[in-house]
Formats: sequence, C-alpha cells, structure tokens
Amino acid sequence: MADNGYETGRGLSRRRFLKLAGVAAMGAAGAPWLIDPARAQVRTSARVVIAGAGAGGLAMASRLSRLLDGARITIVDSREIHWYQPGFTLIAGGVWAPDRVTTPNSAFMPGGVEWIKADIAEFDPDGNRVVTDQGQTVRYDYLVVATGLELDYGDIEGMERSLIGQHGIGSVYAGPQHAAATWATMQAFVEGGGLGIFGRPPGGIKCAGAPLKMTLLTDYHLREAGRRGRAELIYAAHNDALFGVAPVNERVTEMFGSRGIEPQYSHVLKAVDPGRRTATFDTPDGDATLDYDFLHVVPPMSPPDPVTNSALAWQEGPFSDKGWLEVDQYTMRHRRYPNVFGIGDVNGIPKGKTAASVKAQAPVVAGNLVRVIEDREPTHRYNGYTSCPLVTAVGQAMLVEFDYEGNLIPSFPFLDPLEPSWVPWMMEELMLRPAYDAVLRGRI
Amino acid sequence: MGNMPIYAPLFVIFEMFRPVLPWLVAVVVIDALLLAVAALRGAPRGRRATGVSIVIGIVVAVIAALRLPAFTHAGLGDLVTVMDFVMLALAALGTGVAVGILAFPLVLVLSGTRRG
Repeated sequence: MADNGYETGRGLSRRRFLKLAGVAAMGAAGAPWLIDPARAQVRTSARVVIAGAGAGGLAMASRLSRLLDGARITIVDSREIHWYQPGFTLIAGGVWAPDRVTTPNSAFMPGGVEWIKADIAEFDPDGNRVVTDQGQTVRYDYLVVATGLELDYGDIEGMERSLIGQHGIGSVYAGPQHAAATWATMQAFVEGGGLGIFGRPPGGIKCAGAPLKMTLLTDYHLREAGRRGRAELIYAAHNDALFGVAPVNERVTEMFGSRGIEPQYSHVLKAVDPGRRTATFDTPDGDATLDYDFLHVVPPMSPPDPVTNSALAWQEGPFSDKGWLEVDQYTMRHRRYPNVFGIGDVNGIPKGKTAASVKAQAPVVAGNLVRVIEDREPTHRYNGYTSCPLVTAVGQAMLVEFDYEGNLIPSFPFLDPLEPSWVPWMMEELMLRPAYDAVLRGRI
Repeated sequence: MGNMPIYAPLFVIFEMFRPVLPWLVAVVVIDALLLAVAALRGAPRGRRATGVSIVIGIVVAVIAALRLPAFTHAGLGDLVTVMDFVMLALAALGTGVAVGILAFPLVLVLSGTRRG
C-alpha cells in the first residue's frame, strides 16, 4: 500500500479512522446540548422568586435561568436533599432501596440562581414580597409558588407519622425511609396473613394511583409467597369509585374483582388505634371499626400554612376548603395576582398532583411567565395532563395518562393504557427517573 | 411524556447514562485512541474486525434479551403483549449494536494489519 494515508482494497484509511473517531467522540459528548429547548430569549432585570425547590421549583429554576437573560432568580427552600417521590411505591413494594430516590438538591440547582436555604413563613402578594422563617424579606417582581403540599397524618385520630412501620401500619408517602418501613410491614403481613386495609382520603392528594398500587403489590407478594388464601384485602374508597377516571375505574374494579380485593365505598379513615390494631371509618351508615393486620394509611393533604393563610389561597369554591393556590387551571397564572404563578401539588386545580403533571406544567408556567414579563398575554395552556404508571405486579404496569376531562391521552399509541404489561413497568423501572431528572434540568 | 417534544428521548437517554458518563467518555476516548493506533499502523483488517464486532454484538444482544427483564426485576413471564417482545428485541438490538460499535476499535487493533 502506498503510504499516503489511504488504503486500497478491503482496509480502511487512517484519515477515515480519525474522522470517524472525532465525529463519534463529539457526538457522544455533545449531542444533547445541540438542542436547547429553552435558550436565553428575553433580556430583563426582573427579580423572580421561586418558593420551593421540589420538582416544580427546580424545573422552573432551570427553565427560567435559560429563558431569561439578566433576571435575578432566587429559589427559597431549606431542603438539601431531593426525593424522587415516584420511586416511593417501588421502595414500599420491595423493588428499590431507599437510597435510590435521594439526590442532593444542589445537583439540580442551575448556575446563577440564588438559593436561600430557608422556608417561606409568609407570602405578601400585595407587597410583592415573601418572608422566610429566618426573618429574611425577599422582594420580587414575579413569584412562582412551588411549595408542594403537607401530609396531615394528625388529621386521623390516633395516627402520626412516627407510627409508620409499627403496629402493622404502613404509608408510602412520608419519605424513603417510611416507604422502606412500609415494605417491612407488608412483608410481616405476607408472613402472618389476616386483614389488610387500604384506601385514600377525600380531597386533592398527590399520586392518587399510589394507594391502588400498594393494594395490588400486596396482593402480588401474597400470591408470590403462596399465602394469598391466608389474607383478606379491603380497599376503602372515599366515594363511589376506585379511581377518578371512568375507564381506569372500570378496569381497576374488574382487576380487584378478579384478584379477590373487596372494595368498600364511601369509607373514610377517621381514627386508628395502633395498640388494638383497629381502624375506624366514617361511612354513610355511621362509624365502622375494623380489626386490621396491615393498614396502609394515606393521609389527608393540604397546602402549607403560609399559602393557606395568605391572600394567594382560593377564597371561595371547591379549592377554598383547604386553601389551595388560586391559579387559572389552564395558564397556571394566579387569578387575582397577575405576577404570581403556581406549579405542582400546591395548585388548586381539578387534577395534576404528580411529577408527570409538573413535566407538563413547567413549559406552560415558564412560557407564560416570560410572556407576562414581555407585557404580553399568557397563551400557553395546561390540559390537566397527569400520568400514573399503575403498577399491578412486580414486572407489570399500565401506563395511564389522562387530562382534565378524564380522557385517556396515551403518549405511546402502541401501548394499551388499560392492559398490564412489561413495557410500562420497564419504563417505570428504567426510564421515568431519567425523564424526571431531565424535567428538573429543564430539558424536557 | 404528554406532548413530549421530539428531541425529548435524547435527553432522557442522556440522563439515563449520566451516572456512568465519565466511564462512557473514557471508553469513547480509548476507542478513539485505538482507532488512531490502528490507522497509524496502517493496513488494518477492517472487514475481519467488522465481522468479529458483529458477532460480539449478536452475542451481547442475545444475552441482553435474556437478561433485560430480570434487570428490571421482572421475569420473562411478565412479557405478555406483542409490544413487550418488540421492545425487548429493540432494546437488545440497541445494546448489541452499541457494544459492537464500542468493541470495534479494540477488535481492529487486536486483528493486526493486513499483509502484502
């Protein structure tokens, strides 16, 4: 072969090698950054305060820091550790270890964003300021409320968070360690059998599919252990349905029937006696008390007090009972304070208290906030998109996605949203966490 | 998901590999160096290396197809729809192709040079 850098016949040229190597390396390292969905577009000196560094707050910080050039963006939250909450049911189902859902919040905090490590103690929308629990006043031109919600275990007589993992009580919502304690409690129930009681409270709760998942996972583990016959499972629904979306409700009802899980409608957990292992429900026929061996408690949920106690809360209507944030359900803009937006669990809207909802809301809130800064009307609209990978067994799930009207709106037309299968489970196991992280980084 | 932009899967895949990104970059750099070594040595056996890499890719794809459900804490019995098997096949194929491509430079160097 002539020493000219080229080769005749079957071999490859060294120039082609080097070119290929260079392209491959550049492609591997840089490809995602060639596409930036939120480049700096608007020059502004506006001061934006984001109240809360959960999924919604971090997604907004990431998006706004790239959409706004010159803005002063401050995020207020004392939390140092971020919880990937969609993973809690996998922990409580014995699939994941608790450390798989924890990440330092700093890993998601975009550069150039000021992080005040304190909690909001007071919202003063008339004065365009917030006050932290450390007494610091932070003024804003625009506010994004992303505080999340509170778990009100104390609203159930005799119940408190510290009981999770004891006296046959589990609860998937309270945190990774509590989810792990719930798994331990479920295992003990699988060993011992008896009566397992599940259910949910009325009102807005995050991930309304989680109580159903816990019921189905308990059934699954009982069957796997060959002990299903030694256990009775009851699901106490707060109203006359197991799920708020009609076709999903029908499917879950059918599934419960085939798996021997008994629904009890219009049953709201009102009291627990851990020592005696009894649970008392408020029913149309009066109180009903049941002896349980495993009780999965889903607490009532409400906005944090600073939201409830502020003028930002709904003053009338169905969301005023607990004081959820009064935003337009489509634009996510506050209905009375036009420089205030809301994202995530704190919003008083008909649906949308899941991480998937945050994914759909983030571009709406960011886009509309930018338009308002530009003195234009908000045009981006949130359709109520909510997703629930409804785990039916370890290894199978249904990817249920719906909007405000309860229409099923599958992202993947090739997947039947009402048929349990492995692909949605594989997505839950492998894909959703990376997708979630991309949302927090403002990339999707 | 939900009106997911068309570029979204790229970022999801990037986030999926973020924890092992340093290792992945190291492999790519090593591969680039191996390609350079093969090029500088001259007359690499490209066709043979390609064949071996394809075999490696096929073997890895078969292993991936068998192991991927277990990797997700599921069993083969949890695959119940056509899409389950299609997605498993695609995932296994993708894994095989990726490993085959990454293995190619090393195989190329180990294959030596063409004589004559």
